[in-house]
Amino acid sequence: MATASTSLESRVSLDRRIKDFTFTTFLSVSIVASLAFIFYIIYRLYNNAGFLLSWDLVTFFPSYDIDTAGFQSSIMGSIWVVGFATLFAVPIGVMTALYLEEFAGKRNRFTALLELNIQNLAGVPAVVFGLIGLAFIARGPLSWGFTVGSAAIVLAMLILPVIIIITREAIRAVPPSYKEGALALGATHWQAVSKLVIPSAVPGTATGTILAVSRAIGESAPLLLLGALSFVTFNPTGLDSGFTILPLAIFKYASDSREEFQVLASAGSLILLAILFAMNLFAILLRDYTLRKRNI
Amino acid sequence: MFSKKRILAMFTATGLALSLMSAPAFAKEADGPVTNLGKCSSRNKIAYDAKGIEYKCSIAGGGLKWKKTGATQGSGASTSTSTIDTKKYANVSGSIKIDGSSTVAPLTGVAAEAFQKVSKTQITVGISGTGGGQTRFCKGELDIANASAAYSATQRKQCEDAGIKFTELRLATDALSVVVNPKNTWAKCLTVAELKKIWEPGSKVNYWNQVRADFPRVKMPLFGAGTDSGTFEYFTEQINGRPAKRSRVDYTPTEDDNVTVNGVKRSTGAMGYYGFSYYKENTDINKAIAIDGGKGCAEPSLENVLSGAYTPLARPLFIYVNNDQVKKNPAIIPFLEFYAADLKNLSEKAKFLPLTAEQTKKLEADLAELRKLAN
Repeated sequence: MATASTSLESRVSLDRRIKDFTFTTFLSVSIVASLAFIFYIIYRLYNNAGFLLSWDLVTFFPSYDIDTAGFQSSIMGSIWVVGFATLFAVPIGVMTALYLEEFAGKRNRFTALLELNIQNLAGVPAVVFGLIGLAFIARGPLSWGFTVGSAAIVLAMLILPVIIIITREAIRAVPPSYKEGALALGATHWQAVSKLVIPSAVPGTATGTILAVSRAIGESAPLLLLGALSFVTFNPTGLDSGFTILPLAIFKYASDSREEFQVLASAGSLILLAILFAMNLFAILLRDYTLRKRNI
Repeated sequence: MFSKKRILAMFTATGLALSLMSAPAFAKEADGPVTNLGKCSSRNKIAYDAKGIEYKCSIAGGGLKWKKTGATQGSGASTSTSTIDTKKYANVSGSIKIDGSSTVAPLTGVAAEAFQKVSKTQITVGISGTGGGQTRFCKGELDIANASAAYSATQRKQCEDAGIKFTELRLATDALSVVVNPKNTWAKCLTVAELKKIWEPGSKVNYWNQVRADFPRVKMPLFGAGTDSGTFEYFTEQINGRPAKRSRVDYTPTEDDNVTVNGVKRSTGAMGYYGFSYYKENTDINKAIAIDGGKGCAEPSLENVLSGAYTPLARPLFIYVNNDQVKKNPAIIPFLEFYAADLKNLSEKAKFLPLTAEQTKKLEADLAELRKLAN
């Protein structure tokens, strides 16, 4: 193999080899640059607040006293809000995608309108969802107040279009021959979909969902409008409970004039990054696992 | 593409890189005042030296260091300075929603934090400004609203129209402080007229020598309160005259006073204004200037506020309590009782100016009225 490729390469003109080299170098530089950027941020944060990393950060509640200030209620708030948002958005999103791909039939005006709307929703700025939440959920017809429930619905709306689009891609990537084979052997449409299409689409859907959720964890603009920028020293106890979230707790500490609190904000950013990395790693492992399982 | 091995390798590499970076952080720890106190390894850890003087492990200068608390071993003074009986609140439960002025938030926040430790209540304290809090309060969304200026007639009418009845409680006094950068050596005392020249609508003052001819020609970036803030309302009314809320617009407005602190810290010629407690927290990076309101130059301080010399920027701070919620929510009265009873201690902690004896009596009377309402 090696000798074959050398002999092939030697026949390539110098001009094309230079082009090839330049392009590979350019690609490597790009990847190094993007990685360097992330590592620089982590390095700065760690240098700033590395000495604070301990369980204190997670077990202490927010406080006006720097010696007992931590992030517990904001981390729990983020988990509650994003957790419920996922519970609301995933079933609806997956079922919508399934309907559009498998059961909607031929493209007609109705499905075309639906698709256009979903594509548009995915591009709506997050703060607009916050305003909708403020006007229709926290106040207005539902009047749920500034609670975990309102926030979860707003985040669910935010990630729903992403989940639908990703799930549709995953379903479309399942080879049609699977379904056609099943149908040819006498399976009903639903049997073919539930036994073959859905299981094969799980890896793609799961990865996409986790990526959507990790976006939701870092999101702060829509929840700012739902009263999440508050001093909260208790963990949420239900959907009607008040809350704050990690990104806004970081913001609150970072904007404090006392320098010690700014250091605490850096430590909070490290926690947020750690949570995001852990979720992305989980997404990768899950995809690997489900792919391998299917191949056997 | 991403085998388990490769992921493992990536994480090991990240871990290694992080531990290498942490080397300087650990080195810093050793630089601290090494005494026989042991390692200052986690925040809020308490230790005593040979003489029994108490030290607390605290964040300082990019690391954790032992800090003297002033207490001695066995006195227990550092854990609780409050004298009120907290046991009676142990069974109080429910949630209280508070929002409003960021000037008052530290005081109410400290009270809420302390009260939640002795009861089963859940209290949220937002910081959307006096105006933002008032909007929510008059929609019936809040139990209590913080306010750094008394509600105006229009604001009161908004509440009335929505059927919200409320009680005004004066809880502390603030000396609205005008601050400059510590490197500013020329501005020591400004008259109200000079402040007006700087802050009035359409003001063209951008350099210090435009205020007074003997000041140097240094650019003057301005930081101030946002229009939703009670601080803005009070400052503009006292400096620029009635009606309130008229100000020049080419400055950096914010509802969060911390932004002003940082802005003034970063620029030599900068000027800003905010509540006294923020000044007390930041005397090392911001410098308050004396104000001459006709009674001579007076700096913002407890004595000058009580004697009436700090005029016209000494102002009362309020909380507004929703009367109907007091009847419905059994957690509010205990919280207010706690707040009022511990007010002196809390004011000191949050660096607010306490009430005079007369003002305290008024507060107690108002509170008694509220208590009657609840029963």
